[in-house]
Amino acid sequence: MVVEIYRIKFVFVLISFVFLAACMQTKIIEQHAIINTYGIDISEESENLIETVILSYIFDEQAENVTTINYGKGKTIKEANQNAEKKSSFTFLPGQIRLVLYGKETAEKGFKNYLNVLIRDARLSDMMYLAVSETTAKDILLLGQENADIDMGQYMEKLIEKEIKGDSIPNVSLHELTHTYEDPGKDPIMPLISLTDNKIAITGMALFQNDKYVGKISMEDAFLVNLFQNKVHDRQIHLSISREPFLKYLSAPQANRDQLHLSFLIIDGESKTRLTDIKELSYRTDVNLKVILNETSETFKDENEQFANLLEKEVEEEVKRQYKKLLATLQNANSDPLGLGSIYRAHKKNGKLTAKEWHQKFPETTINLNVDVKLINTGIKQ
Amino acid sequence: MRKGKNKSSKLFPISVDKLKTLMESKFENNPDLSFTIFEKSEARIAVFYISYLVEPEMVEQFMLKPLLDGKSKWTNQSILNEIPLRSGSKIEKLEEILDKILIGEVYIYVENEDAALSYLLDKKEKRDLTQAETESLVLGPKVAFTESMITNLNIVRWSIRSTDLVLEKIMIGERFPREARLVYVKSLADETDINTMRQRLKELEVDQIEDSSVLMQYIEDSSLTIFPQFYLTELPDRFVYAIDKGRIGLLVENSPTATIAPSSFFSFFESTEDLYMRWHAGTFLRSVRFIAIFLSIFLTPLYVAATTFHYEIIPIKELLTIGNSRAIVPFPPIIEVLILEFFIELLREAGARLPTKIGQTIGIVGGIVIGTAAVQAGITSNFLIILVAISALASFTIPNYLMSTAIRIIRFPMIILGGLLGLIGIMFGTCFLLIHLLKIKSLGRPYLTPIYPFRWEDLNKALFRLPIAYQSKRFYSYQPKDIKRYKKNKAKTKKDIDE
Amino acid sequence: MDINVKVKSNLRIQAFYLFFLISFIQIGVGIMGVPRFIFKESQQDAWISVILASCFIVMVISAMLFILKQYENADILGIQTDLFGKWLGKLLGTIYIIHFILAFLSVIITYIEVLKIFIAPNLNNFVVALLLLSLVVYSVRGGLQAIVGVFFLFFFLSIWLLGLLVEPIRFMHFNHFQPMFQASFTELWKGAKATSYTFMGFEILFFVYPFIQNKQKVRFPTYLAIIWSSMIVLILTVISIGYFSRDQLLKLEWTVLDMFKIQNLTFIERFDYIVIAEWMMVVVPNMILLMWAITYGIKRLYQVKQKTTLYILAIVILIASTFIDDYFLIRKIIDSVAEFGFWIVYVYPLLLLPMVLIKKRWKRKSGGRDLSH
Repeated sequence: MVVEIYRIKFVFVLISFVFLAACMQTKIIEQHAIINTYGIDISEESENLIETVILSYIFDEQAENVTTINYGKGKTIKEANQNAEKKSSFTFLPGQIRLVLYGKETAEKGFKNYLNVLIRDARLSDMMYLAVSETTAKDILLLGQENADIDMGQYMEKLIEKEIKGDSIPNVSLHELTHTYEDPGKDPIMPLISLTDNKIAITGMALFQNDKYVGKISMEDAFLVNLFQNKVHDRQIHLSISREPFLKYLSAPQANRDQLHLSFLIIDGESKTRLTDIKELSYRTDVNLKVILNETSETFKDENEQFANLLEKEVEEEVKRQYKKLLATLQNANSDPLGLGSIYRAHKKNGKLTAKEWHQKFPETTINLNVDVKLINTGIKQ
Repeated sequence: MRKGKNKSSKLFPISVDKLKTLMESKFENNPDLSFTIFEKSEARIAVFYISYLVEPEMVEQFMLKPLLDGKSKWTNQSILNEIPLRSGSKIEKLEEILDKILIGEVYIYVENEDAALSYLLDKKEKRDLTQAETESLVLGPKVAFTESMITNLNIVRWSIRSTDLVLEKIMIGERFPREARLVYVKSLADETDINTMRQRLKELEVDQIEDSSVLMQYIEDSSLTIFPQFYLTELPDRFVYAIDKGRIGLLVENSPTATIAPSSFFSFFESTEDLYMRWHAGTFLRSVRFIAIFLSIFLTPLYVAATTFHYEIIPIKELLTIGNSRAIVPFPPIIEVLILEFFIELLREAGARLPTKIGQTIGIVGGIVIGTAAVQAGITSNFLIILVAISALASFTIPNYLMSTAIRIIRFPMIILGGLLGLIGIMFGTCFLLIHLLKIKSLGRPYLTPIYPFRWEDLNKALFRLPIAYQSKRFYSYQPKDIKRYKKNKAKTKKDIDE
Repeated sequence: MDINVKVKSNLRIQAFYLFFLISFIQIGVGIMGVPRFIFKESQQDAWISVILASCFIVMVISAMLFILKQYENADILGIQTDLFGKWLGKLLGTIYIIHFILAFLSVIITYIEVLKIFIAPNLNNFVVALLLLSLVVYSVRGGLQAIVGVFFLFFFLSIWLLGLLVEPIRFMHFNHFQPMFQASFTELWKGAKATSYTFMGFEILFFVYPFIQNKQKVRFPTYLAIIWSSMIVLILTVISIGYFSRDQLLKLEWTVLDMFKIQNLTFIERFDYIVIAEWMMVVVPNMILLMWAITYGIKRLYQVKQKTTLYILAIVILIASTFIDDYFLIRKIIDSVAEFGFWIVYVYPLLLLPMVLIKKRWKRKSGGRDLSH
């Protein structure tokens, strides 16, 4: 019994030690501002000054809106954030950042130095998105303040997430971005967010050479980039093909039109790229698409097998043409989001490649495209 | 410890008057001793008993009437022969008389005989058999043990009609002895277990035991742990279920609860209802209970940890909900949770202490009125009310009251650890709890069996339930003498379709 | 000191628990960062290094089992005394104990560092060390039986973490492995050597062997444990190579933990927090067994009560781990444990083997008696 009492005493001493010394800093949610989104711009005053716009949630009885906006300037992002914090009665917490928005000018200078603050801190999520603003980040985020009815941070996050889930664009999470940035044979891309009709929308994808913004591609092209890398399911695609071969199938041919507009649903889409010649840097890509015809701009009278075959062939040609155009754009900007360089590296003798080396070679690459479209059905209409 | 131990010098023969003074001196200030002296055909016969402990009609009709109507000269032998009562016996020692008179024996002493005669004509005040109160079943027998040992033994015998069932009698208590019965099946129970139990009971030197739950605490393996090591039940069906598995039961006079040993941690989450249900439902309900322990212990501590330290792990939508509902709460999460948990405990305790009907009202008033008002007044967030209610509810799914109380108490250190060190604290608490469970023993057997020491064959009985055909064996963990308890009754031949 | 150990039958453990002891003590804190260290040496062929390392370990463990089989019921301390005499045996035994103490220290400080990096930078070393050590003291007091229970239980309570790697597997890029077979043998060997800290721990077999009840069944669980832990390191290495791009992998300190950052469920946003807290269940058994080996070893060597060693050492380590919080110092300690351990764990048994054989032959010649009697 004596031993047992001694043991109980010891446990009490232990517990009181823990009580005394447990000084883990609390982060009680309603006492802090939880950053959801921040934008980074280069200040107009000086090249070296960063201006951040911070969108954060505060849980305050008096505040009528959960989302608040703060600005700050500083030489590093942390410093800017701290300066922004001075204008708020809450301490900022970075653990729930979902989106980082770079102003266009910032992106052109290169995002390399702004990326490490995100990677270094283990408490930040790898799943946050990074995006580029068509103008400055401040402009985009300020609009949220004006339209008080939407929660800007979540709105933009959902906007990007919707496109990724819908297989329209490749994944642009922080992990994926770091991954491509650190991969010498591949260049990162980010969604390009801009204001259209006073609404915020993704208008395309920003192309990067290493970490520098070098151009943009449309959302249609972004889909092609995604199809090049990933499997695609249930995604709508709209194509315009030449009208001429279909003249005999049209039920009431109208004059002065030269193109046929079609909408398909891609049930399954995948592609495979191989390096066929390492010296010539020529690739062969097989794209397989299983599609359903949804809508046509004109009606056909007889959708028989020949018609289907013809349609498939024309669509294949169109996709091929679009890919060619995309490659030309990419080579022009000398940015390789397709990851051709990674394939090249994997086949290179010692498996070593530098980004510089690849950017010299990339403009000379050729892709031999082979598209196979399979029309599964045309809906309930024959 | 025991006072007034008379030397067992020979008491009889003694004169009736002397006996009367002796008895009256023993029962000084006890007016209930009835000591009558009859004089019949030159013999003086004393009849004495405690008046409220015996059936007066029985005494008059079957004892006094034949005694006074009889013609012969009474001797011990003739009384034994002629009085129409079955339980007569000769008693020679005073302490035995004093002992037995208190359980309702009536004594006859014929002067100058060398022994008194005793007849058990006791009147037991006892309640009727009722439904179980603390453990309730939907299916299966509903009768509960009562305070009467005879009744309890009776009930046990209903289920096991076999000479194999041993009801070993052991008296416990030095000053105020009380009868306890060690119940086991001879051909099943492990000898070491029986011996350990018997030894612990016999070595117990205590004035008095209040109840079988108290006796349990005296003979448990460790008194420091929060977990009960023996199963306490008021359901005879549960008791018999355990006896049939080769475990040992303990009944105590005047206690409506029976003790079962050895009991593993997982046996506290078994209900006999799992057997009465089909195995799908049995397995489902048992897993519900396991999830319930998990929720009950971890739900509110995780809330505290997440809102105090790890806001990162809360999904953004929940974060906004929690944040908004916490905005008006003036306390830090840990205080908020402790207040609310304490409030639930208050409700439970008030409900348990008050009569059933008022208890229900308290539950409604407390739960709904105060809960709603507390949220509106900004003392707690409504999100937390839900969590606390769930965790309280979860703790009530555990079939055993002692265990469910233990689980509820564990929550409090967990909340404090979560509030001090977040997830690290909770993890520490969990590790500590598990290591603690690993070290506990029940009647010398590991508490966490069949998980550790690992018994593959027992898993389907302890953790979940398979169809009866796969449960043909008793628990290996308790090492019964006969492991098989069910032989498949039909030959299983594999048939093709349409054969 | 007796060469053979007499162990009461109620303290013995079943052989199949060896699987949990050995596989779990191998996977400790080292695994959290090991893919990077291997990758540094042998690049995309790191997985070959892991296979190479495990083959080598199988060889070492075979030698260990062979040595132990020569005796009736001996541990390494007894064997050393038998081979080298009383004083040298004691010295070598002490070196073993020091190795365990350093390993113990490295485990606790590494875990505290991880907690600080991933969960709370301002965490108090003292508090966490106190908590961990109190768990260690509490369970070591229960003896080997309880320790084995901790291993067994925690094994199953932490194995589900592997399931969280499904998400990183989905993000793997298979061309990271190409071109294959580029690393030279020296690079592969260096990569294999980089795993030495992670795979360390199986030398505990030398200590627990006398406690095993059914010795004829020792082989299977032991080899299975080696294969299991090798598989886990292999899987983690493969996933990290596929998941991270080359330069990224070289920059990340705790590669394996970083992979969990991508997993999220509807009710938990960030699984890495749960994983790191849950890792306590991996770390604690490691520390417990090491602590047991230390106390038991000191009892065998110097006849000090296990409880005395336990409390004194716990306090010493508590103080040490409170003050070691410098990243570079921690790395230095881990490196020295790895280097020191490499010789003790991997090389020493292979040197011991011929000596045992020679001694056996010599004894048979001179006395015609078996070594164990």
